[in-house]
Amino acid sequence: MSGYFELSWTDVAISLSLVGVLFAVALVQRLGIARGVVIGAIRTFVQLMVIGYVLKFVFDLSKWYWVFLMLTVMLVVAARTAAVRDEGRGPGKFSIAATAITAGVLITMVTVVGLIIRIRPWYTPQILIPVSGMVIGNTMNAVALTTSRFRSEMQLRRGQVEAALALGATSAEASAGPFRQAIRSALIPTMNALAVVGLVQLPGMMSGQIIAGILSVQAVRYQIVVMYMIACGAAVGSFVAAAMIRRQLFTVRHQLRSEYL
Amino acid sequence: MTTPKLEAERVSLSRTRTRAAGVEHARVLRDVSFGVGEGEAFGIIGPSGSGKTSLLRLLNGLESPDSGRVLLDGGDASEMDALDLRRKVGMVFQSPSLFPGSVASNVEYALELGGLSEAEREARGRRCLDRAGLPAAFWARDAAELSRGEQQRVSIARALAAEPAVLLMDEPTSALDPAASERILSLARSLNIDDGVTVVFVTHVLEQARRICARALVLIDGRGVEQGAIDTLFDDPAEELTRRFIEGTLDPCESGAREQVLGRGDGGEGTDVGTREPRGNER
Repeated sequence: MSGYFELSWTDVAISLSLVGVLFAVALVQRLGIARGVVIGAIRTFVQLMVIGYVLKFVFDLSKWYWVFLMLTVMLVVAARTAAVRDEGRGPGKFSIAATAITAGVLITMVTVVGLIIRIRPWYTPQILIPVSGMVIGNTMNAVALTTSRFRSEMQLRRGQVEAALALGATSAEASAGPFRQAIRSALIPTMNALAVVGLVQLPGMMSGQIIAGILSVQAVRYQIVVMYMIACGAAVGSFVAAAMIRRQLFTVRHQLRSEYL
Repeated sequence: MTTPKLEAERVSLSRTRTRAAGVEHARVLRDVSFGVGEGEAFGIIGPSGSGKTSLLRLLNGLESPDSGRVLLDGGDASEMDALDLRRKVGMVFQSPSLFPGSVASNVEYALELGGLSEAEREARGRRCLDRAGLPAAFWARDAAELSRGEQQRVSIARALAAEPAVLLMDEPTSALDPAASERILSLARSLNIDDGVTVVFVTHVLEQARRICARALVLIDGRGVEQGAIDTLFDDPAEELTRRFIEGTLDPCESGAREQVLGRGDGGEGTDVGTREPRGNER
């Protein structure tokens, strides 16, 4: 492989000094995050090492159930992360996040595998896992933004929402403003990504290929597809999350359940 | 006696709140009953935090009682279509809570839900604006730019547009200066006397109750203490609690530790939303 610079463990050890700068700043400025920096650095090392071995294991076996298990674990972690960021008081935050993320990822990935990348077998882990991972990560962020923004908009505009209900509006009509606002703001990072991709930051997938010395027209095409995929995942996830929260926030008699805000 | 227009039959309500300390149950209303006759102006009076707002919210189904019933024209409100009930029983909140946009879009809101043609909507909307005592020039103005008193009148026009048979008014003057309060009060009185709208008026200001209402219910600590003709309540109350409330010697601490929780849920809601409302978040 031409132009590929190998990294030794010694090199990795030296790179630790970079985190050392962060650690020093944290200590000197008494940011109270020094412990977190150490833990974070250790986690980065351990998680990536472990995932490297796991991926190698799954790639080598290439069995659909291992791929499936891996994707399930990724979805669960993403759903948990999004649920933790939802500061509302309603129940079932995990299942809302899990349903929304799964819906976004599933619709996107079925389209991709069925019509676009058409990998055979469909579970080919070298493609399915990294590509799903990108969609899951982006959908997770969109879902987390949607849930917290929707609840806070509802809190802020509670008077207007109840005024609309009192005029005979349905719960969907009364909450239309916050609903739209939540989805719109959740999709802003995705919209920004579509607008500036390649200009400000090269996507991780392309960077990896450049470094590994295999950047090609193929890689660019893949990246374009990936960008459109994450947009789809975010849109579906955000909409499903908002719809589920809305359902939770109102009774069938169109009453606002303010205790869940 | 004929069937009352609107009736509460032993309604009780408790609220659950999740706090850091755990789940907290607050009993907001206990076994409250009263009836409002067709075309009557009925007052619900009591100190802050006594559950007045909550009681009002039961009457148009913004909340449902845990037990007891609300009856409209003798029929159980919980069996009616919720949206239909709210069009018949309109509500004016403590805070105007106008929607972002023009006065016109606010007043026409209920009419858009009703599916009238544009011309009909505007005609009826303008009539309601006029009825609320606002000049026709206000029609196209941005609702956020109006004074608080004008906003409250827009909110009344907005409620009138649905042509409700009953109008619930929740301390509509609480954030207004005396002149603006005065205009709202005469409007409420005129809607009742001249237009025959049944009015349920919630207030802790006794003067207002006396001006608007023929009869009233005294609500203290979530219980209906006494009800009857307003003059009797003022001049010759049957209950000691009523007498002390009227005199202004009712010690809020007596109503128990629950008071504070209620205070936040009842008075807090409206005021809270109100202070952020007029300009801030409206786009």
